[in-house]
Amino acid sequence: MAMDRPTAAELVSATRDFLTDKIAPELSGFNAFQLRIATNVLAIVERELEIYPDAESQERAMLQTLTGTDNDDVKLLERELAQKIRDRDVTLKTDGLKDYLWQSVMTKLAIDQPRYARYRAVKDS
Amino acid sequence: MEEFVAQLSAAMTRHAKTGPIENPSQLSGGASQEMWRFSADDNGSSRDFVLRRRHGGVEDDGGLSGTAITMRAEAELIAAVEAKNVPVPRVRAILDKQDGLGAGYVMEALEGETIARKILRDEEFAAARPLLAEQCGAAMAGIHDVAISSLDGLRPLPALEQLAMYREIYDAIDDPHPVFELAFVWLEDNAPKVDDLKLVHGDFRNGNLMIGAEGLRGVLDWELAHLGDPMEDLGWLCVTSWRFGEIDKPVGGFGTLDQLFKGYEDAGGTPVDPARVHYWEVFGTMKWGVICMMQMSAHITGATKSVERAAIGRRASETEIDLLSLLAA
Repeated sequence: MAMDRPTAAELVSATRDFLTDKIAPELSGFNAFQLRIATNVLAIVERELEIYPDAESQERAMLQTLTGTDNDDVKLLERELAQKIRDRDVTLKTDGLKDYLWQSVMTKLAIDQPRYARYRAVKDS
Repeated sequence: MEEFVAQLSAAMTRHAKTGPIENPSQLSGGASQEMWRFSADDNGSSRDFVLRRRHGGVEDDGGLSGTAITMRAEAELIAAVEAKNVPVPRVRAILDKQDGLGAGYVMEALEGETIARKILRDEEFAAARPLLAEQCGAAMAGIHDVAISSLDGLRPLPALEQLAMYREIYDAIDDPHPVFELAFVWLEDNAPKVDDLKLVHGDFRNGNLMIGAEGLRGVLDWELAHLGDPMEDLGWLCVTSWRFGEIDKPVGGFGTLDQLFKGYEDAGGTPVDPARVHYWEVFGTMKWGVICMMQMSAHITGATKSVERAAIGRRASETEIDLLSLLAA
């Protein structure tokens, strides 16, 4: 089954536009500041819905190689990788670790804070 | 309110010999402190003051339960660094039990700007910016020169002890991040062994620095002061998060390492160890990432729910890219 339009991202986007265009001008002070944070959060959700599905399957494959398991759950795979780094079984000298870390962090920033100066500098380099 | 004003007036007269207080207004303080601004006649002319006291006017609980120090210790060390020519607000009254206001102290109000984005971008501070890194270095040299035997209630926090603290907080949140694990391993393997612990401000960065058109006017917020590796203060000021987008100026978004080190050494600081400064920059980047996770966790667990705390959880990734740039470029 496929859900009907609007997509989840489109629904969030409509809500964000309403808050930005109609509600923000009505507010001042603390609540205006909090609303700006809230609309930024909705923008994160929109980007996550758009970017994450493809990134997740790529990162799953990299994590399965790094951890040597075929688990499907990315969160569990990441937990396992974290443990291996902590135990020093996986280090920066391990094939693929550096690539995985950079790729996953660049995906996170593309979703969380695409205007972060370091992200833009790395992306443009 | 009336009782509070009367008590504060009496305390100011008793400790600082000022007239009755006027126009008290509450400032936005931290979670554990309350801040009030007011004016009073001081030897013939009106002066503005700031009261900083424990939230709700309670007594100090010893201070060592968390990382923050007691109000009295804070006030005493501000006076101690002032004697070393560190720009700080002058402390005029340290409250005691007789005042009935709880633990706290009163300082002379400083005018200026603490908001980093303004300091780093507004025309008003254009002349100050090139001076700041050297001035910060000089202020740190003064802080690190205070005789620690004169200070009470400060906790020794060398690198490995702090690392254990932040790792415990991170582990309790139970949301493992491979980049933070990598940083913890590196920080453990590269921890400097420093026998000669100094007074360390512990939070010397944009936001806690009062800046005027001519430069640094005051170093504020001493509650995280402790005994430690003096290079910690230098490294923390270099953490990318405090550059507020000006990433090519490593010192606070306003200066160079050379300027910071020169200011430090010219003011009598021991020769700077750049490797240790780098260590503490890595440490500070990890620390800010863990603090972002803590804020997020306080929201998720329902301890203090707010969209602001939720959102800051998605800023931990900023520190991850900074850590990778430092450790795995």
